[in-house]
Amino acid sequence: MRQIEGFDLQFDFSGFKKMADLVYFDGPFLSHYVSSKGDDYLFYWVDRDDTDNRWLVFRVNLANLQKYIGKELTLRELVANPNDGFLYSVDVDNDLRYHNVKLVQPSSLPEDYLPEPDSYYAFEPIPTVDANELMTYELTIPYKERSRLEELLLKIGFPISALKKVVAHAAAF
Amino acid sequence: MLQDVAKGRSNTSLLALSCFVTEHQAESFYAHLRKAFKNAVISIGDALAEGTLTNEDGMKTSESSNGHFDFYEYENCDLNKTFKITKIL
Repeated sequence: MRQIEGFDLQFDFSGFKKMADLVYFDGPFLSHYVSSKGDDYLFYWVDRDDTDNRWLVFRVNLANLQKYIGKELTLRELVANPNDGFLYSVDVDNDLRYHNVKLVQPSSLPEDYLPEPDSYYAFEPIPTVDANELMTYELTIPYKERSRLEELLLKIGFPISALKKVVAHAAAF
Repeated sequence: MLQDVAKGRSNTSLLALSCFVTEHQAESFYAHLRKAFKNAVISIGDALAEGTLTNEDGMKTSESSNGHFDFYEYENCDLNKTFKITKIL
């Protein structure tokens, strides 16, 4: 696998819960995760060799994720404009161990790690078992409708991550 | 997948053979996949094979709206005899 330019760091992905595989073919290519803090992340597959698969992991605004699912934004726009201004590159080996974690600037990504300019969504989300368990509004409100709800909540200044935690805790009772 | 394995509810789709009903559906899916993942060829190859599946070959899942389904081969099934590579995508 090619070398990628970035800063080495440690990052704990163990608290991430998969909500859906957004692109799947003989395995996931693009997956939506939620961190223990309630933030939305995308795991974007970019490369592999005999022992590892390489993923770019980045925080994403849920409204933008909705726009991607709704074919209003391209995957390239999401990858090139991550919420935090950077992405994590992580290699995952055959035993699902995460290593070689780097903090990467979008401008440092090789061209073959970037989707095409017209990479509009043309797939079907596959929700996970965990998403059903968490009972967040991720699945109780269909993907295409959630952006409007989030936009409304954002307009009135409601913290989205707090809503997720409240719903998750309610589901536990 | 480990999340599901740990809870005893793993999905077997990773073990199935991905198929499409028609050549056009397979080509369309692959074209979209390559736009989003330029290195997809490293993961799934670039050859399109065509053939006919029968009830004696194995079991299939229902088709999704894009024509994709998973196929689980029976132990003695040999698709090399009935499937031929027809195109490099």
